[in-house]
Amino acid sequence: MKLHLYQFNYSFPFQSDPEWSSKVDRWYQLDAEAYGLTELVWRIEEKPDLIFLASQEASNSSDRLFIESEMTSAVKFAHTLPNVRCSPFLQAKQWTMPVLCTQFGPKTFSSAVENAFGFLGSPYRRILILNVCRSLPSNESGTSRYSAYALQIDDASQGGGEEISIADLGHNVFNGSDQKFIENVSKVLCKKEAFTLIEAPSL
Amino acid sequence: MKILGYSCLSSCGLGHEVFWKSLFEGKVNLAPDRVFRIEDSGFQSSKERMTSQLIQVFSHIRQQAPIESQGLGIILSSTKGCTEDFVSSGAKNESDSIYPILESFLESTQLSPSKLACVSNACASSHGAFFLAELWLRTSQVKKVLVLAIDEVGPFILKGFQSLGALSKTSARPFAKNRDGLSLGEAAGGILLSLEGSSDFEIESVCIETEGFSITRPSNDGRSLGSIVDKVVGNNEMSAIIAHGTATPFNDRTEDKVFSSRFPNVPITAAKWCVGHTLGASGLMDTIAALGVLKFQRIFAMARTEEIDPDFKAFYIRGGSLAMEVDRVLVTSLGFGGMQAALVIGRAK
Repeated sequence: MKLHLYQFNYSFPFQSDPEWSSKVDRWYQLDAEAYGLTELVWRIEEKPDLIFLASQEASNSSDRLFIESEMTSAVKFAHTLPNVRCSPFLQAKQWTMPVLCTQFGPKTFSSAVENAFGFLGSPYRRILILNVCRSLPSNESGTSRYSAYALQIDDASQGGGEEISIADLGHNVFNGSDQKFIENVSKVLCKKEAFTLIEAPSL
Repeated sequence: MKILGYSCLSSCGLGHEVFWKSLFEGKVNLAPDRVFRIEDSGFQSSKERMTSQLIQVFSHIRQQAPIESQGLGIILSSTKGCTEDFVSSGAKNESDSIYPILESFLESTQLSPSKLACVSNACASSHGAFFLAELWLRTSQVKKVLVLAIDEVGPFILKGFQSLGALSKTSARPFAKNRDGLSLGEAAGGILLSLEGSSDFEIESVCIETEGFSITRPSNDGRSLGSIVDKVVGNNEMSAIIAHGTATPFNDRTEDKVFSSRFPNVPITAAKWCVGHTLGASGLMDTIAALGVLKFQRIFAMARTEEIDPDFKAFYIRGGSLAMEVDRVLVTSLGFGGMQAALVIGRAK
């Protein structure tokens, strides 16, 4: 098994048109989470066979925006389903594939990763697990800071890179919260040069 | 996957038998606000209400087959879970709104399964849960999977669909010339699955796919739905189709394109005129409807559909139910975010 973790840190609202804007229907209406995931997946070259979309807070922030609109905004309501965040990056990449949007409270991401480990092999040789969360609340200018993560899992036959076992990730790696899980996994993968950090400038 | 037990709770009442009776007799039980509601009351919260509904369904299934924690997986599918609790209280939820219902269900039933998950693939959530169940079973992670599905219709969902202009002014009439949108419905349901054991019926194949086209509607030519329908059907002949049939202009048109080009003579029906669009539970409700079609060797009609849209070319059943030999039923589902899903259910081999 081979692993690679991508982390994309960004601010929202964004200040310029994204590179993929011509490919995504109404890109300017995207919420922070959909925007970040699209920016991140846009940078990943290899097409996976299966995607897990697994963010602990699901669509809570978009739900709040819809409620703040006194529940009258169709545009905001359309983003209140946690799975719809996959549509913009699939449009950008022109991919069609199975996507499972899973939830599991504070272990949403780690639980999806654990599932993905169990399914690796035929027919899924490459699985992508995605997560996005707000890392810093709004500043004075109303801008928040977010982090989007993509853990790519390949079976041993795919591409280059060092093989990694679950044991390499540490004992009880799946026992803690998603935050702890991401910290542990990024440390291990950083040492193995299987971690890519992308920093969009802070505004 | 063999179907060992199943049940549902809807506006028709508790149990699949009352649901089938309503489907075959053309009955509807629409509340004054034009929502197909589960009649219950006295709960402090949505979480409590939904847990109670799932326990009723669970108790009914357990009468049909044993359910023990060892080797068991449970998947709860829903679009919005107990989101209404956060709307009414104004509390800031730190986590998703589906997992708390699963936790509450486990606490009430004292179950401690080997595997757990919640799936939220919009209105194709149930199919997503069946897809995950099959992966768990095929990779021998569990022996049985209980797929549960639930959604309720509170102000958040109702006003959301009103904002989209997607609701019918009367009630849903799938594939009708005068269709004017969907009717929302509440439902809870469950199906117990295994690769082993004795069973009359099985889910032969299930497939989900997400297309990068639009957040709110399927591609006009239905290429993704067509692709997964081809995958689940393979070389088999379909006896009948239970369409997603929301009665919205786009969805029905896409389904007609897919069905008319592949199955011009296969009878097609839909169940949302009877229990409404039950969102994340709709795929499971349609699967239970398909079990009724297989059991009675009869396809129910879309009782509220008087005249089929003249642009549609597939073979739709309206008026009365139709006796026929049924070996396999195709059940399709579509959801926001580009979700497309299909499964084939047939007699167990």
